[in-house]
Amino acid sequence: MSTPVWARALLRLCVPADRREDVLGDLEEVHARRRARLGVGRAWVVTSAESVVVAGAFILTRIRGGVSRSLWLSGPQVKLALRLARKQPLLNVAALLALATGIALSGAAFTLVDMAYFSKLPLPAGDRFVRLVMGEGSRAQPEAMEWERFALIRRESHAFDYLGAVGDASMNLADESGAVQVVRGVAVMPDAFRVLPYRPVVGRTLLPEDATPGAPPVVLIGARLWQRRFGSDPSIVGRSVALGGTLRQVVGVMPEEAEFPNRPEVWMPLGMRDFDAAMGPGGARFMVFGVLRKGMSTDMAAARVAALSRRFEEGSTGAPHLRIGVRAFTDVPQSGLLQLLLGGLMAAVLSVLLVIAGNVGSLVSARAAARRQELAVRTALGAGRMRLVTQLFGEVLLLGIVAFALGGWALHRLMSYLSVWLTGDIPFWVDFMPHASTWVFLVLVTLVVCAVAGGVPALRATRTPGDALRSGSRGASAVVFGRGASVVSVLQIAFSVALLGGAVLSMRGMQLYVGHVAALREDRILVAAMPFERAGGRDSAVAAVERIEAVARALPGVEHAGIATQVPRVEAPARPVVVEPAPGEPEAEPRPAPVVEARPGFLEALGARPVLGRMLETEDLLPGAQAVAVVNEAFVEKFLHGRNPLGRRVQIVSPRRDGEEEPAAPQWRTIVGVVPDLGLSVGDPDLEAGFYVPLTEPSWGYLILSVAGDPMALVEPLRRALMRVDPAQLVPSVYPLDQAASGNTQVLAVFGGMLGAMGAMALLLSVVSTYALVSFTVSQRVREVGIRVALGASRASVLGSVAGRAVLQVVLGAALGAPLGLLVLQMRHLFVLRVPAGESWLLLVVSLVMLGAGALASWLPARRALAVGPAVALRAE
Amino acid sequence: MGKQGLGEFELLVLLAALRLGEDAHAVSIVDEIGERTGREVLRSAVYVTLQRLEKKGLVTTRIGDPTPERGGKGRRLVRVEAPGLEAVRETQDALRSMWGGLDPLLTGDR
Repeated sequence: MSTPVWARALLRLCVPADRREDVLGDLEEVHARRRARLGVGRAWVVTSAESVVVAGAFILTRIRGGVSRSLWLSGPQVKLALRLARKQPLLNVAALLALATGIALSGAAFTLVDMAYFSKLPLPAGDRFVRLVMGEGSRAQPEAMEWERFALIRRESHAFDYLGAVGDASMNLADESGAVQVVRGVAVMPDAFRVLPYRPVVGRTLLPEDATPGAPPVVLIGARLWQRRFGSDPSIVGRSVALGGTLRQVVGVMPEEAEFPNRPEVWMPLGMRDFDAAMGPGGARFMVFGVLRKGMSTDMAAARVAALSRRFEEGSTGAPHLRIGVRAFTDVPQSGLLQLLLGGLMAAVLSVLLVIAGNVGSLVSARAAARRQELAVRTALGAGRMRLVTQLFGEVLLLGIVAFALGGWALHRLMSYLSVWLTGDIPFWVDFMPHASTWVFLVLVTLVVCAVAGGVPALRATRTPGDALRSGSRGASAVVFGRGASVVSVLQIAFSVALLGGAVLSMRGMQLYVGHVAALREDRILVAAMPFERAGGRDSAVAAVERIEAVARALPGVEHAGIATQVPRVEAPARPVVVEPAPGEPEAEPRPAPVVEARPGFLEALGARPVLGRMLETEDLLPGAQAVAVVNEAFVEKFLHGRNPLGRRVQIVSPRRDGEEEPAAPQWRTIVGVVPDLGLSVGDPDLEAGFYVPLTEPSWGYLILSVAGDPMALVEPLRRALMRVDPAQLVPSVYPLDQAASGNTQVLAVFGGMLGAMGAMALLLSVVSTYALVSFTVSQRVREVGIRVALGASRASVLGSVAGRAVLQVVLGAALGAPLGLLVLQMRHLFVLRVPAGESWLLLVVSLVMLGAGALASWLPARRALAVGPAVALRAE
Repeated sequence: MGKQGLGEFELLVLLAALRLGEDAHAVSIVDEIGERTGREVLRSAVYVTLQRLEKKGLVTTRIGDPTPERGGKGRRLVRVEAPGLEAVRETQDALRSMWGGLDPLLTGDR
């Protein structure tokens, strides 16, 4: 025999028994002919390869046959499956809902991970779009570089098909009536339209001469703005519009799909001068982006850019050292926290999915065990084990297909909702709708879950059919609900308690967010978020801020106006703070406290009255003035134990979180006043204690106005008045204070909602599987229970014997769930918003609820056992 | 028996089996198709097709006598049954009627 041994072994393994002998014979025959024709060596290779193909063909045929058999259950099989489903509607609906929820959640998690890591730019050659990143890590330098450096890289790197720049240029746009609106704009190098596939609807795009010094100011407007503001007027080209106080001539209208880089509504030319202006203090930021040459990697491009940048620095005096990286355009810097969150989300969802698979598996096991005799009879009549397994698996697959449809629909709705909710806040290339890869993933997940939930129990139930014939179904519960199932059950109950605990605490957090802050007159306060003049340095920024406050105070109906870096209800950054010990007091460790920089008038605008001392005053802003702070009442309690704070000194001990430099020597600030709690940290009672310091270097902040009537009536007059004083002053958003935290509240609601849905699903599953376990035990032990009742066994001992194990599982799960929930709470700094501390007792409540539900789910079926009379018991089996 | 739609390869296998008569088995069918059409045919494809044709009731198979050159194993001999013949005829009719009037176009005579 000369055929390759391994080829024969492979065919023996893969070819069905009834075909095996003749296929092996053919192999011998063909190989002999081949050897005569090709020689030993070549024949060996060809026959080996051919055997793999033959084996593969038979495997594929088997799989196709198996899958189609299970997918296309015969009429009677489907009827049987439906009859069983009707007999146990609660179990099946629970399994269906659980599977559908698992599918929707894992689809959502997969889409989010896919979005975060694998988003592609929807442009021709989108995968070669890159951006140059200045600086590394969290301490990134402003994204700006000198024109000469840029020109050198552009000219000599030979790494890019195109290299250009684009910057933010949002502007005020006033119409004939004087109404002002902020439009999102970009300044872009005109030649960028070489690589951007947008063609104007009307007119032309930008030309290089538009960016030359002295050229008349021009602008391209977007189709949406054209429709909204100019009624799609075709004669718009050539008209002038007032943008940020400058009259610019419209040269064209861009199509709706022109969304690069941030869904702009107006495009203006960016030229050489803008580069150098950006290097100055407070200069506008822009981004250098490019299209890599084919075959060029980001690392190769980065090496060339770095070499040229070094050459530039060596050749020009005073040029700052820039570390320049090259990243894919869609590669948004991802913090470790985001990765942790996404990883955590994926892990949570997959564990929920596993729990669901385990549960559905238990339910299927119960069903299969109840049918052991039927399966045994069918085996005796000649049905192969594979056939029975296929049928049981097919029944679960039927459930899986319905769940897939339901879960897929839910996923689609969820993602549509998210995409509508988040539009504007997310990059234009991010697509929330699930891609083909998500659906493939979900099909795989469904198949795996069905295989675990259907295949494994089916294999176990059909392992020893002969025993079933001999023993009836006695002992089946031990087979079905083995030790492994108990462990899964306990873990799942613990998991449900932890998840539900998280959800309840999130809801509590939200309640605190929307709760009333006594000292605030929220319905009378208007908030305008705005950047202050960016060029011209500190003095001009201070002048701008003073001008803005003066304009606001002069508006009719305004009582007070002031500017600060943070508004109430939105979490203020907490910084380590220490109070100077009084003589004889020990030195204290720094503790976190929120600090808000504010100008005089801000606290008054919030409606605050000093409880002690005074508020912030104009003199506090003067150069050389004593550094002061106004603390809240909670601060006095927490840091000074209720002692008189006036005259005591407080210090912020570390540099700011965002990397800005604190004065070299930490500054002691004298406490000059105390105000009530003004919602410094409504979400976290731990951080209620904080203080206000004078705002001396404004760059971005909130103008707060307290008004006599409806604050929204003041929006338009405020915009117009500010525009009159400084046409370039942007006021991107104006809203009443009671909406300030609406974004946070929504995030918290979605987060809590998701946790709640997972927790509720896990709770429902726990209850249902407990019910199934006890119900199944009762049905399997009718005879024994009946006889025990007849012989006078007590109710308690009967109940204990049928429901004891289930109750024990619930107790263990609930007991384990509380510490697990506490562990989750320890990680609460990972959450988007802080969940309140000191509310851990809620976990105990959740545990008790779980205990109650579990006890009820055990008692209901166990009650049936007590009603069994001796006659029924003897008729059983 | 209703009409059997035959795939192209199924038709080739059936025709080869008809030609080979008593000697039709996987290896000879591969050779026959190869010789007549010049197409390289995989034996695995013939196995799978024969299984399918057998399931449809178009052919039956039996194991022939073992021979030493086959390691003492017999061939699986193929016999085309009446429904198989009927299916070949129907396919022939269908092709013929589709062919009608196209000869000039296909041979290039206009």
